[in-house]
Amino acid sequence: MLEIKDLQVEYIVPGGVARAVDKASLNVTEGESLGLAGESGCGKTTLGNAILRILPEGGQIRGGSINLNGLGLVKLREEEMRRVRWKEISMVFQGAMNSFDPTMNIDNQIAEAILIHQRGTSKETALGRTRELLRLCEINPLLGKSYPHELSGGMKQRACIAMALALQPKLLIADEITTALDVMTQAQIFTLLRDMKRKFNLSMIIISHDLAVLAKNCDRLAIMYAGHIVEIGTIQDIFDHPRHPYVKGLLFCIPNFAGGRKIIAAIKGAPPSLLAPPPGCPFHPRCPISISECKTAAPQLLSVNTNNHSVACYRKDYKGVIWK
Amino acid sequence: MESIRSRIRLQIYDLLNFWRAFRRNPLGIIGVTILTCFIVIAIFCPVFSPYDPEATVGEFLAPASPAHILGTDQMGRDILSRVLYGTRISLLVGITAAAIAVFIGTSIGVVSGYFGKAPGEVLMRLTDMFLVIPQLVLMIILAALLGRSLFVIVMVVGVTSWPLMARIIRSEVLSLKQRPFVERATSIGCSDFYLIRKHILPNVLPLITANAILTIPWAIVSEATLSFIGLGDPTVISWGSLLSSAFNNSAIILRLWHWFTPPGLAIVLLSMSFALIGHTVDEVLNPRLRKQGA
Amino acid sequence: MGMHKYIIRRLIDSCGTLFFVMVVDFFLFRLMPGDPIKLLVSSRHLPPGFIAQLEELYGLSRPMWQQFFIYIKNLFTFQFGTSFKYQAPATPIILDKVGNSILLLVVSQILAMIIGIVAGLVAGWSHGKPVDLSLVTSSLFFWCMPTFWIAMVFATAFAGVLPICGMHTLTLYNASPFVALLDLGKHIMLPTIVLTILYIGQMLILARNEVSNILTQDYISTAKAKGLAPRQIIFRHVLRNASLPLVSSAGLSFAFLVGGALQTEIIFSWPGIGRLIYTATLARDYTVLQACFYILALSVIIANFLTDIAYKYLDPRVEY
Repeated sequence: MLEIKDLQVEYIVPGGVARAVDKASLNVTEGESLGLAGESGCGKTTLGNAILRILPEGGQIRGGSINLNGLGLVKLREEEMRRVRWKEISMVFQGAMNSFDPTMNIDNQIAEAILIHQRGTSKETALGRTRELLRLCEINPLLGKSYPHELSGGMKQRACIAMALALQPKLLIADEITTALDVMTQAQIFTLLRDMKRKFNLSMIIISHDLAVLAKNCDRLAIMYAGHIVEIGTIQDIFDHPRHPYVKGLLFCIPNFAGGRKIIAAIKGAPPSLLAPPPGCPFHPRCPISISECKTAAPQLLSVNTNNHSVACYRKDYKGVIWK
Repeated sequence: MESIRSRIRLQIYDLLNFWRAFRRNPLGIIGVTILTCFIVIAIFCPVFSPYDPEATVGEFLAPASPAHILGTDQMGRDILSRVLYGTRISLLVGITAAAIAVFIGTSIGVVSGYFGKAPGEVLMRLTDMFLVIPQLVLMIILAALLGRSLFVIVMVVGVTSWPLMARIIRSEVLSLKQRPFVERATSIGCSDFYLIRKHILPNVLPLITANAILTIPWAIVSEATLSFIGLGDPTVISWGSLLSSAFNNSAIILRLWHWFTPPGLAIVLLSMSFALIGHTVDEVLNPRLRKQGA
Repeated sequence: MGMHKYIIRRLIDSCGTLFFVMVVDFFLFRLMPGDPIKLLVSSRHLPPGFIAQLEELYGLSRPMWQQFFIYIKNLFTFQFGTSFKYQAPATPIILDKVGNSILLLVVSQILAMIIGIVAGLVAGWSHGKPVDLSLVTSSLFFWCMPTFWIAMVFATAFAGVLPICGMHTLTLYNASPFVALLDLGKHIMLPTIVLTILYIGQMLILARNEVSNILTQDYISTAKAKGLAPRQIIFRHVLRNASLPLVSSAGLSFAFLVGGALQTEIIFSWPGIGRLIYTATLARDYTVLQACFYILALSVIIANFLTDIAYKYLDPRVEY
């Protein structure tokens, strides 16, 4: 349904040009939820913003394509893109605290989405629909009259989800939606999200740095590093048979409650500066098994099995222990 | 000995960094340039003035001519010389009065912000009530009551201009007080005075500096206004009093542009230079965070 | 907090501030070196019965605290004593002119706020770009100008084109309301322009900083993601949030504007309180000065009260 091919996104910053997303490709099919994981600054939020073309000042899509059911989004005119936004693809942002305008009540802001896109809808109809949505997201519809500062964090996030579903989009992008919430609320929010997914056959892209959350809520997972997608596959494949050294390192960091004592390895070094990324594979300076090819050209995403498991690494078939 | 030297070195390093950031802003550079010109004029005006500003050297109300570039006033004195000499008073009063206002305002702001609850609230209400009183009116009344001297002008302007500063400082101190490092310092057992000196003041300094510089234009314009109304020191040459003479001698009706434009322009330019510098200092020291994508 | 409770609390607050103003007003003229009232009584050639009037009004022979209460009572009942300059009751002289000043002030303030917010929007939207820099520079430029000087410049420049003196053309005392209104409009134009210029700079910088800040907020990205066009984002979300600091500072800026109005009235001979203060200062007419101080402070308090109410209406987050 959604096909991203070789997407390149850049930011023009005082120090130069930062490559936030470098030749990223991924697919999302109908009814599937894809997780997008990676450290802070790896480009996952940029990718999400690029799909909706709401990059902040200084950001631009340099190349590649984003196709939604055949419709190319990168080259679309701004007026047409506005019609796509929220109606086909919607988004729930990280800071629910600030996603709402503090001077308007919740009802009006959700209704706004409906009224903007469906001209001719009366205000009562829009408000009626808003109340339905709030109820769906387990919020008392009467609370719609409240202002954002009167709601708790969890409720605001649920209201954001209600707002995101207002036009029954095909794809929902959830960008770090529970990072600022406690674990209990986190679980509730994701339960809600899974319900919605089932009810509306929603496709989702869930962006998070929390692998546990992604493991529980996604069908497939893509891992990003320094703007590149380094591995992508089903949850089972990634967690049980990781192939990329970075991914292996990430998973190795997760302590095992059930098993015996394990010394957790740390990946030495830090992610590269996006202004002057190292040539070739971005991970090679920190990779214990890098070879000369890694320094010259960035590896392509190549499939390793029939189940859409792809890895971008020259050493994807290495079977030994990498991290101690 | 070592620590003092290294501290001085750190300060110089900080200053150089600050200057580098400041330099990038074109407005700031323009401000500094203009201010330097004025300071030079203030110091060397006897050299630059073609005539003695107090002496009658020509016809009354003579128009601009090669002998008198800006003409003469109603007593035959050369206007250009008077304008040049006026720089001294404006700079002197502007900076001194602003310093007084900043000192009072900061003290009250820090005290009322730091010692919350009773003393803080009372001080804040006091400040707010002072803000209700139109400053110029208060200045006029005080000056009218206290007499015409430079000292009075400086005191009057200084003493009426502190509330705004106090308010700004107070809200900053309040937010600083919430920060974890203050809580930790208190739990170690630091005294209030130590906290204020070591933690609060240094963090409020950027705000104080920027606003102090921005208070100077207000002081300069206030002095000019008071002189214009006739409450200034009659023994000194002030741009305000020049404008007052112009107004009272029908300069408007007689279209004597050469008389009242230069002093006014001088006030504007001098104030502008401080305002530009202050605005730039503010942008450098108190950056407004702009969101970048991740 | 409900609107009603808020209004009541603000009212009580305003009364407290008013009391403070009265106290300051009283002591200002009494504790200054050489108690001016006493000075007046002893040094002037006063008509017979004048001292008796003063005694009745101020209770000069009674202890200070009694004088204070007499004074408060007088202020409440708008009894301002007798003007020394005009040898006539001060109250009608002053109350006659209040309306003229208020007219000038209110028109200028509203105009400045509207222009300020529009220009501030433009500046904030293009933060850092040439448009922004030039707007900020012009704002600073106008803020640094002494009002009386701008007034002089405008008066000289437009002397033949627009009236520069007073509020009405003297020969039109019999004219129809429409002509009178037009005449008033012509007379108010230059003073208003001058006052507005004074004030615009402040509003612009305030608005521009707020707009800059707002544009980085998440709810703007959300609005954009919802598919709103830039114009819709501005009108539905930016404008309301950006006008908040302007409205909240409007009350206090009124005090600042009063100073500007004073100077404007002098240059344009506008028959308002400001000009009255000027002539009273020159004549050392302390009764009038004392009363004008009170009236102006009262207007600022009222302006503050009104803007606080307006602000509460605009921003639902406000607690007391």
